[in-house]
Amino acid sequence: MVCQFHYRAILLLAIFAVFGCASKEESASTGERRPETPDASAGSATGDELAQLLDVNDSGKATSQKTSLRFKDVAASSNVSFHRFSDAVHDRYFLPEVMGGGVAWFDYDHDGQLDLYATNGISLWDPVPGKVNPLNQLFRNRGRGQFATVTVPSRSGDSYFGQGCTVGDFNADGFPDLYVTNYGRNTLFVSNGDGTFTDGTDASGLGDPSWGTSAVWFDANSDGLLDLYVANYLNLTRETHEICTYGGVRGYCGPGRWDGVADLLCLNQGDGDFKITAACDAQDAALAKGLAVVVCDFNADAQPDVYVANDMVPNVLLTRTAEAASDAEPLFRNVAEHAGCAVSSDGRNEASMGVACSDFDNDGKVDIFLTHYFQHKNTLYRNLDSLLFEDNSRRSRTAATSFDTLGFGTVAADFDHDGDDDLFIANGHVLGPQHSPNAMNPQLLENDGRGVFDDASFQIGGYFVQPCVGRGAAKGDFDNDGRIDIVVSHVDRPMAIVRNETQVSNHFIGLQLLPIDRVYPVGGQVTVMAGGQRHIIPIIGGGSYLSSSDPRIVVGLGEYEGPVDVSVVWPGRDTETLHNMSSGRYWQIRERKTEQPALVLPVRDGSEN
Amino acid sequence: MTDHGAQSTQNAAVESTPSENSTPSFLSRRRTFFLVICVLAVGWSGYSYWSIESGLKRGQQAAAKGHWSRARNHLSRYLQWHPDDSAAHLLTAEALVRDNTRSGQDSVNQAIEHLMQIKEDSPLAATARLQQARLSLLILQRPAAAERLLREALDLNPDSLDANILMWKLMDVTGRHIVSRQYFWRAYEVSPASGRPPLLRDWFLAEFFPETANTSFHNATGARAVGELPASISLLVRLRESEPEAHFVHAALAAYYLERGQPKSSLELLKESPDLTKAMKDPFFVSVLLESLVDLGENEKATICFEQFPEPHSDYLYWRSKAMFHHYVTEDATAAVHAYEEALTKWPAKFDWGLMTKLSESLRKVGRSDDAESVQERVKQLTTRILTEEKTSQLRDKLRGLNDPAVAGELCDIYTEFGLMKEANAWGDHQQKLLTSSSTFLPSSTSAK
Repeated sequence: MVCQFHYRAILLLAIFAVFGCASKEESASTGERRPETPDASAGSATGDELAQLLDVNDSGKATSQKTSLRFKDVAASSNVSFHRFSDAVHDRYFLPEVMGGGVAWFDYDHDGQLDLYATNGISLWDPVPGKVNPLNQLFRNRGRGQFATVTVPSRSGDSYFGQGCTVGDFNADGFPDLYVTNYGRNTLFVSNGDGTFTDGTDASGLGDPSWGTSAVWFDANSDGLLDLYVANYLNLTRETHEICTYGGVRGYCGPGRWDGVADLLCLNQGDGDFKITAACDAQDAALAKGLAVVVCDFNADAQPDVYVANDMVPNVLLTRTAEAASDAEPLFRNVAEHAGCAVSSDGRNEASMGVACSDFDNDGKVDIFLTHYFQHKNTLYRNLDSLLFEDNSRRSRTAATSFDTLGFGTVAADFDHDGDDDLFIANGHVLGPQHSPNAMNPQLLENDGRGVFDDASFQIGGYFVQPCVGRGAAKGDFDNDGRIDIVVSHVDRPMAIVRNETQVSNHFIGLQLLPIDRVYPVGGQVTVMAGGQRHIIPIIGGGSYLSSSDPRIVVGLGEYEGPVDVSVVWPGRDTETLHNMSSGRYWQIRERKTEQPALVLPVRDGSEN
Repeated sequence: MTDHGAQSTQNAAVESTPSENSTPSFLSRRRTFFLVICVLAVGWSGYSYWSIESGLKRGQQAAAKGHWSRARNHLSRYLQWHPDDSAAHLLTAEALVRDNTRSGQDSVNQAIEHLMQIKEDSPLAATARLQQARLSLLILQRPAAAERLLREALDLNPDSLDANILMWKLMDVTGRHIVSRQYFWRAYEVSPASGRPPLLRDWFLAEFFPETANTSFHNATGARAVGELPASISLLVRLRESEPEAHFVHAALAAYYLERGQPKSSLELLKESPDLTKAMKDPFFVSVLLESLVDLGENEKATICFEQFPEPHSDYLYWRSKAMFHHYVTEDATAAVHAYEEALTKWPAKFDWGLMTKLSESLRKVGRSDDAESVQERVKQLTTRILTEEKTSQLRDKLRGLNDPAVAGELCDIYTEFGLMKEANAWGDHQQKLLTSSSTFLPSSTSAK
């Protein structure tokens, strides 16, 4: 087996090298002998002990620890049947086909139950005459775990190639509006308050034709109005389309083939119109290739900061500029490089797809988790304070649990109410089905409370052991049982509603924040004091990939079941504290109504659903 | 012929009968016959002696004419009487390898046996070990054996140009460019002046184009790119099959997969190394193992591994490993900074922007923000101005010719920017020589005008 190649040919080639220089050799000297190999100085471990060093099978899996987490895909039994149309034409490999779509949990009809929105694709190049393009879908939660499609009556379908969706009450009328990013013109659906929507794109000026991906509503300039940040991806058109070959097999090209497109910051003018500006003045940020965006306060200044996950170019962390008083000045500056969260600690650009923020290590500061490409680590940037992050992927084991996957949508939530946020990750490759691996198992990483994760996926339910090509993911307690569920959009199969069926012995408190100006307080913070334990929960906008999660906050209290105190930092305003709130239920917290917090949505027994 | 001969013998017997009475004549004949026999015997012996004694010379003459089979025959006889003749063994080994009439594997094995007969006290011992190493590496593809032999050759003759070059290349093709520098410089130093520029060029390529720097080596060993695996990795796979006990080949393959985000694969490859106790004496092996464990978050195992780090605790590999250990395992940023800064004083950290980025992160963590900024600035400088694909590729193209003083000057500048003054000075010397030689011709060309 040693020499399966053409031995003689190599021999002939080698002959010239072997003896060609022999005559040049000089006589041997009799210098002192050098040691043959470096000596070991500390080699005291035995062979067996050394062998154990290498015995690291299935690293990252929670082999020694049983988890109580249980999940089940209930989409079919909930009457949700949605298989996103990707328009994947044989051998075309047009990148938008494989990027998947987003999902959103939001209560569009104000009935106290989370409804579900999912973006859809259309025929990208050559529409078939007479064939009606698919629409984005809105599913109304009818209660008891049942949904009904209301796309047409609600007029929330869209005639573009849908990518992401984000929810926010931009006109402060009390009803959530919906912004849909497309490969093509983006669309603003304005809620009419009666369960229907009006296309407000033209009136708002938000119909950017670039390839929009993720977007998020937040008050960027502290004027009491919801603004919009839109991440744009690539300048890819039919004319610039290319097909790549990997190992002789055709597939989708990566982002390096095309230029990026600048993200947009759309400032709400208060009259239904938006002023579109560049997000910041950094040239590199303007050429970013954004796929995901999250907004929260990373430096405890009660101002929202923006983190954009870019694909193979440095990520962006935007903080408010102090001098942004005039219109001419950019509102934000990019500090990612200085903060240490632009590239990995190896100095490499990473292919960031999805993002989730939380205080994973319970140190009171918001950390950043990013999903990345196959055989690249997912990255967890630990917040060290003062806008300084460190790449903590190795210690947190988010690296160890991610080398075999390609992650997209991701959400952080305390799925078992043990007081720390776990991570869900939707995985799936992008090269196409001809390449292996294509479908991948989704993952649930269980936090040990110190920001160190174990992959619990293989023991928590069938959905997690079925390889699929996952993309958008959003969290939300659609059955109001206090346990956070997940919805996941796939490329290769119907959307999954992954219900959390964990038999939780821990306790929780749920909070719905109702600011006085109806501007969701992104950048604020909630602190829950529970029996001497302090839980700090950042109020976050956006996150995941192309998706929008339930804005309610669920705080796991562990075994503590007594009354809790809740403090809310309303960004740019006061901090309010509510005392002696009982756990095990959702509360509505209305700003400046601290005397009478309204109890809503009593917890249901999950078995009812 | 046989019958005629028998008949003539009988005739001779019959004819001799009448002369049986003349004894003196008979005795004279016998004496003559005896003398002839003696002369023949002496002649034959003399011829044999001459034949044997001149075997080496005749073997050399035959070899010079490319008659390898004949040369081998001469040498073979010679060696029967002179089994300790180093020159004969050396030439026999060459004849065996070059003789097309023989099968490859047997020839090489026999050649190596001959080379092994050359004892260390022979003036040709260094050459013999070098040739053994070449055969071991290029033909038998046994890199560990080749490395051992090269070390012996360099012990015997540290100034051997070929041994230093081969050791450098061996380190390079087995993924250990990081420990190859001393051999390059020794080769450079002992090389005649005319041979130095190509060495400098090869070194530049090895530093910045590792995948293609050793193409001729890959061609010589028949290593080809397979699928997405480059020829350099195909070669490593083959070397691992040829000599599984070469732990550094396992480590080199593991490092390749580690670099590509597959630490589990890296560990699997390291696990295949048969003698772990021996492997753990190699800093390269330990550094790859340590980094794999760190990537997998196996902090306890990483700690045990780091405690085993072999001496010397002074080179780049050690300080880099120590820095990463403290950075990611103990989270002792102060210790990490110290180790990173030590590593940065060693080659090749001068352009290891990944290491610098890690240092920058640790500097921020210990509150040295200005230093962190400065390191980050250096990283930006390296990645956007000096080490860009465009710039290095242009240089590679220009280096096809080595006689352009401007190119030599450019190389001098780039190494100066890295802070690698030894390389910078070498290219500067080359540039100076080129300028001098061109100015030498200037008057004549001017006068010609």
